[in-house]
Amino acid sequence: MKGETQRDIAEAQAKNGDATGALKTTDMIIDNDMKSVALSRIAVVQAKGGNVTGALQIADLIQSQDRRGAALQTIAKRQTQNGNLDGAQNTVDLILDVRYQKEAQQVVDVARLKAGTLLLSGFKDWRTPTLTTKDL
Amino acid sequence: MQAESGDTAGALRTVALIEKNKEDDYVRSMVQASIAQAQMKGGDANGAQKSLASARKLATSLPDMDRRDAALRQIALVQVQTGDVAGSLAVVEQIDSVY
Repeated sequence: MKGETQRDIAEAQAKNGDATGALKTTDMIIDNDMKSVALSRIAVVQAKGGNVTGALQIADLIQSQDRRGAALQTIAKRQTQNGNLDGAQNTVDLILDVRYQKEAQQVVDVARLKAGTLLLSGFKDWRTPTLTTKDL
Repeated sequence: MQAESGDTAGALRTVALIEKNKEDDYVRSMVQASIAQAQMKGGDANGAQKSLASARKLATSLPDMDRRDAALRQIALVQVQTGDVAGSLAVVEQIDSVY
């Protein structure tokens, strides 16, 4: 219960704008998975607050590929919303967890199709197309 | 309900009516933490700190470790909402369960 409380305190600190304090609190967490969850939540707070660079730096500290994927997916979505599709694609390429990678890629692909910068035939050949016309 | 509706003084009187035994101390501690949250939202920072101190005293006296940890977690989460991060982390240190 100590770890999950430290995780929640760290998230509260991040929401209050104290990312440094949040990371210090996260350092106190002994359980590695709980630490990854805390870092993921801090990264998401940063991304949603518009600090994509900071969010990516924090995501880089996450050991769990699953938690890291979740954070990077949120960051990629934020970059897509901001119109930074190349940045979003770079973030998607960092995701190793297949589930999060696929979902994030779909968001970027839809944005690219809407922006007219991706033809349906333009999917990278190593990637299974994730879109159908109903996604547009 | 009293605390949430802004009647924190009434809520505190209700807490005092809860029968005094160790099992009820868990309830009293959790209610005190909720009252502190309402006091904080109402701008009564001093009242909130007093309620949190009272809640912590009750929580640390609980013989059941799970309940003690649960009450301390609730207190720590309310305390961080008041902006007292150091105080909140000090409460966390009293939590026994690592996870």
